[in-house]
Amino acid sequence: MIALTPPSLANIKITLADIPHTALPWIAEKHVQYLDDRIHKIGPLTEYLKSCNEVEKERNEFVEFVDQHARREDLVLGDYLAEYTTKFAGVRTEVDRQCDAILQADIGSTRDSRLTFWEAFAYINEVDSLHGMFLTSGRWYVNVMLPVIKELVYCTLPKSVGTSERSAIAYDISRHVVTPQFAKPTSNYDIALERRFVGLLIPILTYYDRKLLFLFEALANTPEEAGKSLDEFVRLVNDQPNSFDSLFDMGIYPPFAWHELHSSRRPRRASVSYDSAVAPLLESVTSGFEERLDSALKFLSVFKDYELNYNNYNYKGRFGLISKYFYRQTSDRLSSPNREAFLDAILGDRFFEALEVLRAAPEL
Amino acid sequence: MNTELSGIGASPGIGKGLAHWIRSAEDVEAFSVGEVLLAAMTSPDWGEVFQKAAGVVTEQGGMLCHAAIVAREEGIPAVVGVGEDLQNIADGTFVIVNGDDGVVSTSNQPKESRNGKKE
Repeated sequence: MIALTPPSLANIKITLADIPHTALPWIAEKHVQYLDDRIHKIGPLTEYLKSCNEVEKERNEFVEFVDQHARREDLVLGDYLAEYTTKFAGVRTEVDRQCDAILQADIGSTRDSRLTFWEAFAYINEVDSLHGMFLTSGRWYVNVMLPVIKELVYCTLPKSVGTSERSAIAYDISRHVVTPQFAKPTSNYDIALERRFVGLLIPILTYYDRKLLFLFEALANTPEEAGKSLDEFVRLVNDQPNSFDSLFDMGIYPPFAWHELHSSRRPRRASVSYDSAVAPLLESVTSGFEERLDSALKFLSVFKDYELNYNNYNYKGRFGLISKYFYRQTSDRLSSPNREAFLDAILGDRFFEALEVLRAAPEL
Repeated sequence: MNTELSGIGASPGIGKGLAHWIRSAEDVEAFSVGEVLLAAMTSPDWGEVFQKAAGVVTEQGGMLCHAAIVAREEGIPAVVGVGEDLQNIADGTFVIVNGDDGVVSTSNQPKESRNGKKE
């Protein structure tokens, strides 16, 4: 039924072959710093994404796209996923095309050509950041999985909830569960129904949590010396690439999982099987909605694959490598204090702020 | 004064401990075993902090956010999406995180400084 899966990720060795190994320690250091700052400065970044004028149209369209589907009484998740796939693939294709241009030094040799490339780079990556925020968090108004969660609520509400009110109640509960800050409280909101659904949802989310956090397990047997310093981890990956083949295959550059490496030393609790994870939902399905629930669970699986794909490409793999390599090339052209201002903005994912620094830098 | 805030119970169970805000990389180092992590948002990259925390509370996010994901994986009670009112809970306040009901409350227990002295 569902073939609209995320784009496959190529072995990261293909990307690494085009990046000088002498640049890798700097890239790893800046990327881990970026991952840290992204979280410590998440408030300002969220505010920036919510108000970035250059992508206001895309932001509003995306919010409307998700919210309108979620509100529909005749919600068709297949249509929603098809539309989402087109949006996701469109952005990824363009980001990937720019990555190729960076690696092939195909962005021109003049200040004007570099600035033109940066303008396109800032725009598409700002849009990609929006996609990431809507896919992996509940920080701003909607989450991509909102319609899927609404469908799960819809199918498992008690039979006493009538057909006419079922969609509206399911929408309200899904909003409270996925984006609580932006759910408007209504006087007749039934918190007991919400808590009942949360209890049904947690087991299946726990099943997918383990899949998303696979790096904890994957790095558990990494040699102790890798944990001494990030530079040491980079060296080990360079010197013993065969030890990391399974991660390379998944499109992951292991040093970007520096924090996961340190967390991986603790034994994990046993994982739950899919069958036991979905059992509470299946046991609570309202008679007549069994097929709809089964279908919604399949869509949840696909959207979780998108989330994993986004994390692996943007935070642990190809884009992380090439973008930091590009930032290094760009910052090398800049004089202080432009270099510091550029790196501060770009490592905070504030693409248009970084672009303003470049526009004002005659030495670019 | 006791405070009670509502969010979403994203990871079940009840956790208790002194509130510890993480607002910068430096705060991560100072986090102690048994404290309750308070943050605008968290990341899977904070694995070491999660392994020490008695509970997790965030201003932002819902059941699908990173804080919820890692808290469930680590088996730590978590309430997410509490909103800006969370800022009213200061470091060192005794906090109860009810991940079953999505409620965060402070108790009458005296506020303690990091070195354990009553304030």
